[in-house]
Amino acid sequence: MLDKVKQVVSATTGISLADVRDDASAESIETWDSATQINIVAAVEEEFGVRFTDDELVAAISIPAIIGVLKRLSP
Amino acid sequence: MPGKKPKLEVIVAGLDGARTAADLHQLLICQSPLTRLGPWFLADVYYDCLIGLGLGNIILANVDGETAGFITYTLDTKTFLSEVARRRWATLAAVAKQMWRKPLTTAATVIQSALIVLRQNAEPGAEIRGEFLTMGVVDRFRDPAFIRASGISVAKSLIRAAQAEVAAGGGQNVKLFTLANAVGPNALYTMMGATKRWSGMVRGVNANYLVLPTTRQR
Repeated sequence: MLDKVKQVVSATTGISLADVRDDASAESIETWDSATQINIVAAVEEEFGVRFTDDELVAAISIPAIIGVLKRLSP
Repeated sequence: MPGKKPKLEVIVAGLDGARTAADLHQLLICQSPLTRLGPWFLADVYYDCLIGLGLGNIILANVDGETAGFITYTLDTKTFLSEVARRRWATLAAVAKQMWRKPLTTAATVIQSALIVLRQNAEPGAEIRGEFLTMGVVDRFRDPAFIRASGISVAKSLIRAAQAEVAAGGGQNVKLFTLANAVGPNALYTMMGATKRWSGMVRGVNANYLVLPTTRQR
């Protein structure tokens, strides 16, 4: 799960996969902003077949937070 | 985007930026009640008073010399309208004269906007002096493809610059309102460290009330 999320973050933010840390966030990656966030969540939803609520989309602004939502949503 | 990376410049524009801010406000924040009053009101009244009276300022972002976005803030929401009335009575008289010739709905919007400003004093969080008033980024510069290729987030840069200006003016926090269903802006301010204090009807729309520290707590 972590590797797939990191791949999504890498592809969406333009940061090389090697530079995306496990705890990467919108604070540590400059190109992770609001428009990027919507794309990250859309890609994660497609990858894992889940649907984030608006509140989850707003709050899931780091890889650990995205993983947290995915763990809650995954069967 | 091969070759040279675009260059971002963030400047506190002062009165020189009033016209640009008015144009961008008109273009980018079409749902704002103030927008319905037209560029003349935004430039010659709203932004002219905000900056001319020293109650706030405009920060512009340029990318390779092209205007990419703006943010406006005030250091003292509470006294904005009373200061305008006290020190710019001639401007208000000119507004009244303009209203006389405009449809009733326009005049109603002006009155509604004035009441909104006055009502803020009674809102929770009114003790926080600084407020981000308006912000917008030109579509092309908030396209994820541009951000990815350039490494530039105009929105984040504008917010950081405004935080620094409010901090320099003695403000530890700023308040701001976002539309409750606007996930992009709500995510953006959360990224910058804002916390939601409450949601509810504000100024006639369902809004979130956010508080943003001017220096990041770690």
